[in-house]
Amino acid sequence: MNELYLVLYGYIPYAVVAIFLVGIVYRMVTWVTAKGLVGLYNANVCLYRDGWGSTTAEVLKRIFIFYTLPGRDRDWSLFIGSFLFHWGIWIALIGHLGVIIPGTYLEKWFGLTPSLHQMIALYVGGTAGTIALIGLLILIARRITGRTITVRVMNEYKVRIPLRMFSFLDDYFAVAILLAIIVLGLYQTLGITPYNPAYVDVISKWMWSLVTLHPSIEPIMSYPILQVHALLAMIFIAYFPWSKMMHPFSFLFMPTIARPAIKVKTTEMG
Amino acid sequence: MSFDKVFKERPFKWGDVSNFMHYLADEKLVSRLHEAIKFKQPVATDEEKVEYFRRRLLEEYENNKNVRMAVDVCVHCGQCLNACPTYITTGDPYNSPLGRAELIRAVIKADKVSGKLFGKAVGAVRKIDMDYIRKVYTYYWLCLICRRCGYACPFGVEQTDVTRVVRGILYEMGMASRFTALTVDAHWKSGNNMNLTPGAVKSIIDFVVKEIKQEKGIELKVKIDEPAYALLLPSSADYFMNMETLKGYLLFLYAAGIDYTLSTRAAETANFGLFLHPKHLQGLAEKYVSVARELGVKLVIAGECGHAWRAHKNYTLPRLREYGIELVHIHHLVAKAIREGKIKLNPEANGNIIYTYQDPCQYARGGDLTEEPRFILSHVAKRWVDPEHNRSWTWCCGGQGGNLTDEVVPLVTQYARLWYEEALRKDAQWVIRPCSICKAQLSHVIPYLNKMYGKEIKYSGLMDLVYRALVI
Repeated sequence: MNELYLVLYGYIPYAVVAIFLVGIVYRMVTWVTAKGLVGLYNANVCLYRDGWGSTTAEVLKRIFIFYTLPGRDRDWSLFIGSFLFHWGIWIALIGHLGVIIPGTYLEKWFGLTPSLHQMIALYVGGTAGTIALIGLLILIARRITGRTITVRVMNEYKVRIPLRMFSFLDDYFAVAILLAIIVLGLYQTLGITPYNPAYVDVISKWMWSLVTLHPSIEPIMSYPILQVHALLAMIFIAYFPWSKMMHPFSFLFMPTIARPAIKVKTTEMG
Repeated sequence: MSFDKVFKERPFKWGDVSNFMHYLADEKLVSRLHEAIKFKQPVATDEEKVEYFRRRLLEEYENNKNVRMAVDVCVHCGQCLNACPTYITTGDPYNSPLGRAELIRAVIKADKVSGKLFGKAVGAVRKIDMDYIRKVYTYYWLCLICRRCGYACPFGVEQTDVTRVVRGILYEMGMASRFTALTVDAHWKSGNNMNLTPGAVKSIIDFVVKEIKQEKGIELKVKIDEPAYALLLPSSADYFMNMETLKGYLLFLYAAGIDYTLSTRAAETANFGLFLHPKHLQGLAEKYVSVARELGVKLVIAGECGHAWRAHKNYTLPRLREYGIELVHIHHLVAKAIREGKIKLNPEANGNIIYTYQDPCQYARGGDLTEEPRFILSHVAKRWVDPEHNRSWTWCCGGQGGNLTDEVVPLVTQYARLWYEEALRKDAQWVIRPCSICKAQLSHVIPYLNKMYGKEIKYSGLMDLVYRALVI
């Protein structure tokens, strides 16, 4: 049994990281090497954006503030859901550094005392996880319930958005696994850590053993919630590069966004 | 009215527009087009066609960045659905960016590991046959290629790029919309979409010059096929359907003192290759390049036509630059002449009418041409209003992407309700859409829309107003 645990939580994490990194590079290479463009040229999806500065700004705005998401005929559910989910996840992921690096190093390197660390984990981590959960629930709700958006011209056009019709197993798999990871993560942050201050050390002992290439699974043997959370996370990380979860990286390569438009010179006209 | 028979034969049904399949070009026409681009059709039987479609789609997925990323990145968020005029006005899920995308993703998915393992559960198609391909053909030709979906997509996935690729593959299999095929064929043969002969071009220009003399008291000398500083490319429709637009070009260029010529070999600005196949787009664009080089011009001036401007700006212009030739839109020149005080305009000449400026989709989404026309309009009209959905969010006229064809008029009349109602919402009396396809589409649908809404909306290009306002 211990051997199985050792393989699962001691060796497989390395394979998962390798699959993740190789997969991401592989997917990016497939995007870069697909050199053809429809109709031999490229047309942007932004007006008068013909410089590299504005192109970079466009890419960053789309990644970090989701500014196009409400759309012209305001569908706030996608904007709010995405904004909450992504920012919640990003903050929570940064917070995970605190469970990878042992407390002694956190204090030595960053001056983070155990009590301060616990407070940040509880309040910042708890808030981030809750925000991510709310965001994800909004996104799931809009996917499985039939929604109607109103497009106002002179009359109002009620536009049915039949997302269920266009959602498949891969879409549901990604959101289901994310939901489980967030719920379990949140439970550990809000339900275990406040009552067991040593819990963070338990996790970091295991994680740090992986980082230092001396895997030790002893610290987590008696924490089943943590084991399930970690297992689901490993499945998700390995799945990530082969799925649509790659979408944040697409902004760097999308021909309609990541290239400046051709500029018309209007200075010399006869 | 002229399309009453089509309205009876092909009634519009909410939620299912599969009865609006474009007529197919016959074999003879398709093989003429193949010859023009030196392409040999590799398939004849249905079985071969099905296999070719699958194989070419997978090839495009491997090699074409737009297609690859569209398939890989779309998370089915649905943002494109309430942006797409073809879906908003018909309610048919397949007549939408996501619906069209799924028709071909299903084919690509069937070839992937997940598709082989989980089949329909991950959206993979079980069997592709000619019925399936006819469904693809129907819905892919009903797309307006207006690019509104690309502007709505958070990732910039542009389904119209996929539309163009799929249409290209269908064309290679011998399946092309008759109207677009005929138009491209005419362009290859005569240098313009309307089959105008050099003699006809010269006669029309003589006639137009006489009219300008009568109306403005100026006798213009218009160069045709002569060396000049600039080459003017009006739309062939401007030679007889939109003559006021043509007069606007000629009088403005005279007033601005620009030395230009027309060409009987390029009595056109359009490039319907954009809607059919990249090789036709390229071939027709190269015709413009070669005419410009032969005439020794330094500047090419594109007339009012949306898709043409998009093709010129993004493809013809870089090619012309290789020979030191620049390309601008006529609106760039007019706006510059106004700024520099080279021309005098009297907005009174366009009356007390409330005009509305509706961006042709290919100017606003792919052409970076939204501010110059507004600047011009504010100098040639006393009263004008911007619609609520303006610039990048403008509504397509309903005839783009090859949908000017007669057999879909009842459907595109539905598409057109959006821009029509936009005008009504602002109490506009006159719609300005400076695009040849828009004007042709409006000539088809406005009689029906005016009857439907009990209004009397009129329309024209922008150079028509410039013509009337120009003080010589």
